[in-house]
Amino acid sequence: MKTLNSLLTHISYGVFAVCAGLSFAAAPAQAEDPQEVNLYSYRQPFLIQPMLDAFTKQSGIKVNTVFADKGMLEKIRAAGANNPADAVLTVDIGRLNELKEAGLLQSVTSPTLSANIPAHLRHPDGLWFGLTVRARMVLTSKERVAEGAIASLQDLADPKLGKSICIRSGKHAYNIALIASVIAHEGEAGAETWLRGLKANLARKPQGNDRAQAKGIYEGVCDIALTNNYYMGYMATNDKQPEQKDWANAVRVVFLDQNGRGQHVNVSGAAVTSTAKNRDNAVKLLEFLSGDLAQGMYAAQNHEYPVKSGVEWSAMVKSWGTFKIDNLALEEIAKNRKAASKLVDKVGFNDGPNS
Amino acid sequence: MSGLHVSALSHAFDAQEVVKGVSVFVGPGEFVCLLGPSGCGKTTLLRVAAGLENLQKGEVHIGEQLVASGKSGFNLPPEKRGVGLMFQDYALFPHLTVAQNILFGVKVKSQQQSWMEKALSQMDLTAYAHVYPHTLSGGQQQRVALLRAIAPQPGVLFLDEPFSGLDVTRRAETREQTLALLKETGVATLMVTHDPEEAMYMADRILVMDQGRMIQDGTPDDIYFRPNSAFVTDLFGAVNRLNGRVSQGTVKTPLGLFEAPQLPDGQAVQVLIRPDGIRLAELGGTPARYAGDAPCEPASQPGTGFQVVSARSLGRASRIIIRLADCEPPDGLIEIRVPGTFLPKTGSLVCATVNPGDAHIFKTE
Amino acid sequence: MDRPFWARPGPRSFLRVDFWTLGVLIIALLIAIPLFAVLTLALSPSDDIWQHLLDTVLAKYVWTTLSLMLGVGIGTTVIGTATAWLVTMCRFPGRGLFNWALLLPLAVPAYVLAFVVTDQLEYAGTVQTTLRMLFNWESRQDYWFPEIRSLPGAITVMTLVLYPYVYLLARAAFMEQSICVLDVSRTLGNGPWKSFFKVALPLARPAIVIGVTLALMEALNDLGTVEFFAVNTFTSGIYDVWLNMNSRSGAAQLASVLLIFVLTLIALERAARRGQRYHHTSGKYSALPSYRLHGMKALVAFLACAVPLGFGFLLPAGVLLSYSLNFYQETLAANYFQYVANSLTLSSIAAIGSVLIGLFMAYGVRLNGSAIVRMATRFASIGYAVPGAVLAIGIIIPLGAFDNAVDAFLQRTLGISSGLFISGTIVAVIYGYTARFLALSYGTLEASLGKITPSMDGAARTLGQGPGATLRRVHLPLVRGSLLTAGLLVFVDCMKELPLTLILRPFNYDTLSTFVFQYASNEQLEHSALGALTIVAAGIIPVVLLSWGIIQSRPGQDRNGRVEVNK
Repeated sequence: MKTLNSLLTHISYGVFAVCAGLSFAAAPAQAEDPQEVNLYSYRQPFLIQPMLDAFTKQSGIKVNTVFADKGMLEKIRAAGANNPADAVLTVDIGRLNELKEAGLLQSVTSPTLSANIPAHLRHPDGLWFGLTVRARMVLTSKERVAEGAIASLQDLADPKLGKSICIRSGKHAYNIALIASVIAHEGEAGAETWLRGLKANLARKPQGNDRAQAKGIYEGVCDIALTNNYYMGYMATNDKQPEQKDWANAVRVVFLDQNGRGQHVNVSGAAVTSTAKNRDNAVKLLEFLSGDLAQGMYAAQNHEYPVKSGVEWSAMVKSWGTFKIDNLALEEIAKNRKAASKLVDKVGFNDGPNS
Repeated sequence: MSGLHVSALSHAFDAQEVVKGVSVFVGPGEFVCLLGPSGCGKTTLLRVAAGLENLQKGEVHIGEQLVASGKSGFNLPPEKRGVGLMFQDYALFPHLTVAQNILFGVKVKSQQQSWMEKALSQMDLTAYAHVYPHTLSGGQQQRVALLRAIAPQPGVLFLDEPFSGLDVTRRAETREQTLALLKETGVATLMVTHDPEEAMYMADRILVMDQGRMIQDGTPDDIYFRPNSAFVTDLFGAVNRLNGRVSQGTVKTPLGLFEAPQLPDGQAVQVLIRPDGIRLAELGGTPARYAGDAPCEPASQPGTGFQVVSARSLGRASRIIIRLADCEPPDGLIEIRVPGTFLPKTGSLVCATVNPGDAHIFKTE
Repeated sequence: MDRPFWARPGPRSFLRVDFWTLGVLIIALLIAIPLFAVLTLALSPSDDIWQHLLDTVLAKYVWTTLSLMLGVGIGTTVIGTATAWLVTMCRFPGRGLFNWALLLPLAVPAYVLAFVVTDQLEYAGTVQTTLRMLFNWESRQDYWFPEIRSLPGAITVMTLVLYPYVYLLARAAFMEQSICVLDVSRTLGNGPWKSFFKVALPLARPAIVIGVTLALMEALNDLGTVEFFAVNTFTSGIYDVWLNMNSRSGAAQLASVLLIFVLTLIALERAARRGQRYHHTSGKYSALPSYRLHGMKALVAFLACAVPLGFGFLLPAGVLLSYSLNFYQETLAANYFQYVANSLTLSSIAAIGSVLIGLFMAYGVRLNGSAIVRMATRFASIGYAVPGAVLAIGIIIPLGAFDNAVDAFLQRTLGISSGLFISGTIVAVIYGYTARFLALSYGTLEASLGKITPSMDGAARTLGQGPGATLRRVHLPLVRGSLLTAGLLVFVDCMKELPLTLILRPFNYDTLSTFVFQYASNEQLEHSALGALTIVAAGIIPVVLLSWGIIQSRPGQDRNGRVEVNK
């Protein structure tokens, strides 16, 4: 008994020592170091690492990152005053607004940010900032759909269209934002009619990711698909997987509602947390990300639309031409996300056209 | 050498009381058997005494030391009681050799090394010291388990049905060896068994238990020849039962009159007679079976003997069934066992006598 | 038969508090904290979520989830049990290889297999392309092919990666079965088939049930795979309510319902099993029989083992390998070796920790099996059924509160700040792994200890050994094989684990699975194929060890057999 007790005691000391050792080794650099900024990112690090490296190179400020697709808000809230994250990067307006509603962001006033980012792509009080714009656009089959046959979101719900649309899950954040924008414009009843019409026109149960929808057109499963612009960019320029180029070549890019309210867009954005220890560095990072260099990288590498005017788009993106943006306030979209999610349930969108 | 003293022990599982105020004393060097049918509470008593079960009511002393008390809730854990316990299934540790098993509980192994070697040879196990238990026969495993239990020189040794896993032919030999070893060791031993013959063979004293209560405490002789209840009488196998009523201090049965001086007149009683408590003679002047017997006098049962239903030789003894005339007991059949060969013809008449000391008379309940 | 002493709740056992009982209760409490946090979160109001769900999708979620569980339950039971029986009892070509290789799909993350299967079986995938080429079909309209992204698809993929749990436990059970009972069955006129169904299967049932329970719990908490197959389960609903409807309490309420559901299932199973005890009755083992299979039968047996292995392991490993050849630079350019080291470190510590804790709890329960102790351990080990990200939230809330309380105290008294000394470090990740995977180690060790007759404990105790020494000198050597099994199961699962790692890890700390997920979540799994392949490969070594360990521990074949002696 004694022997085992002491054995267990030793083991637990050992475990504790190891844990403690590991935790120090892996602990984030503490806030005292002025040359750091801690970043929670909903964006995949490999997409933003080049910009962060450029920032470090230019400013000498080290960027510590951790990436997760969910749970960041809860993490910041649970950490309270000890929250280590200075800034957050998100991939849509929904998360930014949630953080704002939870009171976890702080207002930033920066002439640079104000100058770089158009007013409608940032919070009026500087609680959050859009860094890139992504358009949720339509792809149509070059072979089977006449040019101009689809011009608006409403066209997608037209019964005449038949079962010809491919789309990913209605519950995906990108589609939720799209549906939320329809609710904002047309009210819940109008949005419901539209979504039912869209559902009736689906070629198959909503599934796969955005690339898979273009692939669907290529395969002949459907004629029309919805996707975010940068996926189209990746596919069209994918040298390592030339089959993806085939998918891209089978489709035509269509910006919607050019004669009406304009193409629905979302933003990837950033914000500074209310408890940021390295607030100044965080602001510097945001300023950098909205500056010419980073914006250019976003555009060139990720096929996103830079928020800063005058920054050159990627060649592929440029080839699709300019378009009119739906100027609906982004927070309106965020506010209607819950209603959009419920609407998806209500019309049974994810059950597909045959239910 | 210490002894075991259990006083007024009661134990319940959930709401069911399985031991009801039982006291047991085992003196130093004494071998005591706890005898009773399965479920009578004897194993529970042993486990509580050994400390594997927490005591609820009563007290347990080992030697002078109080090891468990119901009043104070004190329970010395089994490893501190200095007891040995041999399990029915032996519980040998499969990952240890015979020698490692035996020395498992010994603190200073070197001290018991020579003892073990001697004991192993005494038990015919020397060749197996370094093999693993699963290669041993049941009897060998039993002996290893016994050696393991006594190796640490416990003050009290508990044996839980130690021979029940062995086949009949092995049993006698193993009992003999066990007994010899224990007598040599001089340890106070409490053995639990449901086999009365085993108890008779092994014990200095037998404690009979039934339904959680102590029924009788006595020497093997007491238990066999002077049972204090129908239950105890019954333990040793089939018994002939005759019903009767006390009249002027005697009970009249088809097998004769028996004295029952202490019982009141009119008391319904049963007379229990073991098959070997009845003597037979062929009716009609054949010489008596035993020296000293009077020739059979059919006069005691006017004009009749008892009809033989069957007679079979069991080798050293014969088993005869006779029918009583007046349908008593219910089927009217009485079983008798006599030494040697005695095989009257079926249907022939015999006369039967009972030694008064072999008739056990108890109140009918 | 008398109940063993440790299973008898005496009137006093409720009050009896000793080192082990107290230890078990404290550990169970620590492990259950995240569950309590989720339950607490569920208590705050969640406006109209329930009404909405009831009106719309709840019935569908429940129906889909039950169908998924039924499908995966049947699939894993049939494949796991059949293959285990074949490799244990029959001799046919390839048996020696299958014996350990059948465990390999365990190392394949379900979402990886889902990706590979859809990639290969979809219209543009290799299979259909080849078919079209062979038969000169032009388009989708020319032929019929099953819908891949469907409930049956999800059931198939989950079955393929989860059947090894059943296989592992069923095989161990078959191997430990006393040959006598099978012989008895044969002499009573039952053929091999009948003997299997009437004797071997019922005897192995507890082990199979544990395996299926683990598989089902994993199927319940899954999000990645069902999302891939466009199947909406109860768990998808939890995430939807949390992330799209922005209702943490609503999500926590759904998760609590899930917990209650799992607890009910476990209770029902235990009730059905009450009164049955499976201590082995014979101490004698002989070599297992081998039904030598020939011709058609051998071919069927071969295919029965080759198909799950092929689809569950060879296919994904092969596809990952081919992608790796194309995309290895991305992985190597990243901190690949650091990720490998991180994954191994986290998984090893968690595996060792889970085994120690699981052993402590299982032995503590054996020592004092009072109702409250049993309930506590059972509750603590259902973290496995909770969707990972929800469990992560249940972890960061109390850990954050604890860290902040310690920090505030230190600031007040000593004027120093300890910051997030747990929740900001990998200690949180290891804690999360332990809370999530304790069911694996505890379940394995509980089953293993259960096979040791209680008189072993009694014998050791009366020979002067305390509970601790008894554990060390008797039980530890006897359950050595299961310690290995438990540790390696946890290890392999930690290597694959994603949601907890993602949410709980500190800054600049990536593992193989978070690295792979970066790409997978950007629809480019192929770019991280080398990472995914490494996860799979890291699973092979323990799987082989595991297999080897089990064969070594077969009674009668070596000195460490778990021999049960005559009763």
